[in-house]
Amino acid sequence: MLGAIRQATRVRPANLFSSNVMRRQHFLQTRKRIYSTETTSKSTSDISKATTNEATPFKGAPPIETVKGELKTNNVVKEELAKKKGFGFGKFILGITIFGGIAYGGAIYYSLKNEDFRDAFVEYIYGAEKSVEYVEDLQRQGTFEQIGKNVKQFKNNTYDKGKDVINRVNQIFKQPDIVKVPIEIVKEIKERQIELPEDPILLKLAYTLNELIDILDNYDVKDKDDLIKRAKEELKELGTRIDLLKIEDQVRSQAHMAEQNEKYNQLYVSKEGELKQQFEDEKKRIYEQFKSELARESARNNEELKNELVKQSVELQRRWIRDVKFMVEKERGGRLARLDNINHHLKMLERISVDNAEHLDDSLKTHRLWCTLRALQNAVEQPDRIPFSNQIAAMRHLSSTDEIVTTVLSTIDDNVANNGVDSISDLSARFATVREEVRRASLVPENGGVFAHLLSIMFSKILFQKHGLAEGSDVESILARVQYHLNENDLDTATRELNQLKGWPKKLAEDWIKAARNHLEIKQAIEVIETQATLSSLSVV
Amino acid sequence: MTNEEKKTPSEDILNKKWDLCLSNLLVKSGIGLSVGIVASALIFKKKSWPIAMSTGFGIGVAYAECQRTFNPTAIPGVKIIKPPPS
Repeated sequence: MLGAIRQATRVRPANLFSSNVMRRQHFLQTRKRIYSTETTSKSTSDISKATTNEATPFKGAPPIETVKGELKTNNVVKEELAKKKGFGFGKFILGITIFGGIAYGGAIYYSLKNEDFRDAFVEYIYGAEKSVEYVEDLQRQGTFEQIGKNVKQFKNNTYDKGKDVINRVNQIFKQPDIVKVPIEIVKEIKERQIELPEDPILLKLAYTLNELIDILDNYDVKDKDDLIKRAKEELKELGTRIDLLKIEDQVRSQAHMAEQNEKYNQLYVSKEGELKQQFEDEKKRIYEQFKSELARESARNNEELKNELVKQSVELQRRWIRDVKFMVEKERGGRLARLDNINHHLKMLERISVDNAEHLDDSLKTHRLWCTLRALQNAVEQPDRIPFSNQIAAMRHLSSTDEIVTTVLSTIDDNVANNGVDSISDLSARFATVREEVRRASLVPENGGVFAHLLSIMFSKILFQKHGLAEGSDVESILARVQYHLNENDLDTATRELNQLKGWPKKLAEDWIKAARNHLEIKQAIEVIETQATLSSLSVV
Repeated sequence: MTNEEKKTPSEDILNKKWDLCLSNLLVKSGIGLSVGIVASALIFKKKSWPIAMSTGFGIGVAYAECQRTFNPTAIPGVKIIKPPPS
């Protein structure tokens, strides 16, 4: 066994390749046989044969039995062919049946895999549905797996059996060798082997020789030691010869190399000089060219730069101008805004001052009005008659804008103003005489003559005088009421009462009434102007 | 002052009229009396009736004038008709 293993490790590459090829062929054969459904027993025998074939090449002894077996099978096929020539029709039927069965089985198998095919298959082929269902049931029950398992187990069993057989055969073949050659001899064999040289060719040769030695060790050949020794010597000789050849070759090649070297050196020098010259020329030319180009380029660049600079400067200037303008505008806007503000303030101040002036004016006017009013009042209320036309004129002049004052003043008669008005005390004093006269004429009828007057004077002496608020529309009662009102300082009512008289009494009292009316008018005017003055002063304040 | 003289106050109108009447009466009656005395002495041989009659004329003229002063509208033979109240 150990020997066999070692051999296996030392197999040459070519040999190994061939064995690999063989193994693959065998494997393919076995696969084919396994997949064919015709005869499983035959395939198993083939497998066993294949295993034997696999094992045998390493033995060195060819498997004679298997060759014989193959020959046998060939003979059987020939016999079958000879028989079938007789039954042509039977063969035809059998072929069709087998082919149909295979096709049907394949269709069922494929229908299990492909749904579309299955639909088509079930639709068009008679009895397909049942068979497919049956197969599906079988698959579901695991029958196929069981069969597959059985087949595998059977294969393993046969393989094991084949191995046993091979081992047994090997034992039968090897037993004497193993018994004969002890471990020491094996060691010797090891020592006897040729040392491995460095040269690859020699190495190969050495391997070959070693193998040969091994083979010789395995088989009992006479003078094998001699042969080995001779081979060794020859190998050595061969090595020395190769070395010599190598040295010689080296020397020759060296000489050749030197010669060549010299030649090429010369060539190199001459070429170098030439190239140098050329290079210098080229350099000069290129230098000139580049110089001129550089000059041109630099000139162009300078021109461009100048242009660019000018353009940029112009743009910058423009921008600056714009900026400055903008700033100036802004500043001016700010100033103008401030000026506007100031202007606004000034206007406000102006308005305030104007208002103030107006206010002052108004107040002055009202003050003057008050002054003149006071003067007028003073003039009117004097016990004597004093003309107040001056006061009236002054007032008219001062309050020419005041409509009310002017209107009121326009109602005052110039005559009255020039003559002045009687005071209440004057009027009441005058009333005493008026009363006497009126009473005297109180009994005169309308259009009365001299005697009527005389009678009236006479009878009026007899009449009782009335006092206080006497009722009645007779002259005596009216006179009594007037007297009462005058005593009460109510000139207005007194005048109204006296105005009720008719005939001669009225005529007699006319002047007094006039005077009283003037007084009242002036008084009213003064009151109105006073109210106006009060209003204006209120509005001013 | 002249203004005041012209314008007599209303309460004095009647008094003035009376003054005028009295003076008129005195003048007229005196003229009548004197004319009667002269006439009785010269024409009517110192008879008394022409004196009374001429004095009566004088008084009558005075009365008529006085009446006219008090009521200027009451002219004999003239009647002023008031317009009917409308």
